[in-house]
Amino acid sequence: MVQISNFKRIFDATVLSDIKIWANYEVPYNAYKDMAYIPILNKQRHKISLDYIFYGTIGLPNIKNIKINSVHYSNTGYIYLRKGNISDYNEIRINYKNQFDRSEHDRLTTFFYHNNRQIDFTIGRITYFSDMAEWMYDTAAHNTIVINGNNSKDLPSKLLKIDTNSKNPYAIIETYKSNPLYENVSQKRVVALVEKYFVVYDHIISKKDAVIDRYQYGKYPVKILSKHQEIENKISNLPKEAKFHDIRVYKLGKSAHLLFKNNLHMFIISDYDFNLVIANTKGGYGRSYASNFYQK
Amino acid sequence: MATADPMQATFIRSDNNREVKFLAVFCIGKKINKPTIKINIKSDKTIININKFNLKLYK
Repeated sequence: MVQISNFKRIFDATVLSDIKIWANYEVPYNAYKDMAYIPILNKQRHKISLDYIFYGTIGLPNIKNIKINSVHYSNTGYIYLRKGNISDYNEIRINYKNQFDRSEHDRLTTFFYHNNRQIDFTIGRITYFSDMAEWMYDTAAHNTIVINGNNSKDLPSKLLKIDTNSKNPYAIIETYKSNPLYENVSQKRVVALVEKYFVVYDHIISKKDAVIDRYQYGKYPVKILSKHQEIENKISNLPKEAKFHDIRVYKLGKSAHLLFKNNLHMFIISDYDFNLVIANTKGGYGRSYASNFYQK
Repeated sequence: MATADPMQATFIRSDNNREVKFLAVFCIGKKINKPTIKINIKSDKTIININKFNLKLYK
């Protein structure tokens, strides 16, 4: 049995890698009927092979008819919103109860996936032997709201509403009034998949004056495509462990259009003017990793 | 092997330090259609609008 499960694991891993063109999926599909293999089988069957003739299943399901489902793990507070079919889909992941990774202050962070590949970034996991190791745990190392440059508390938030069945799936999450992620601050975060777009909406209310930052990592460098003006760097309240350097600050107004290197566009608007801060730092592995997570 | 390699951080800092709303919309591709996005603030609710999609968020 161990050998069989290892056999499947090898193929599951190559689904995501560039070496999949060398792997033949006819036998594992025959054995496991895993829908994750169908997009690859469709490509491989453009040329008739001996493997197809000897081991192939006749006929494959039409990939456009195999919908990919959203998943909500209510006990752990992980939400995987998905939209599309198994060969072409978008996915947003968010956590409102538990961490995504060990010891990280990462509640309400988001990950974006397009066709099973991550298209945004976080700082990821830095080696424990690095002098930057503590940085990976910070809230600011994730795609989150950061108050005064500090870490959020390790507390769950409340799921107000989730709709995983509609054409545009969404989830609305709010921090608890009695136990918020930051003292005296209430946060609401909405994630949605609308048409081809990944949507993240934040509403932050602070009882005391606070520095409110909205972090977003992407494949760098980032370009600013909207009107902007570089201004003097007077930025305070930065996360200490980040050791930011070469900090650039841009005045943007109430809207902006940013472009990350992998053609990920970010359109952002706010009810107040905002500045964009770009800084150099360090990150570890898993900054942009892929997952082999399919809903069958 | 885990590493610590150079990378870039980006964040948006609001001018307001009491209450703020951010609506961020992302899409990937070389040729994309720019979405129409709005935050419509009313007395009892906020409506976020992305093209023809509306989501009402009650206070």
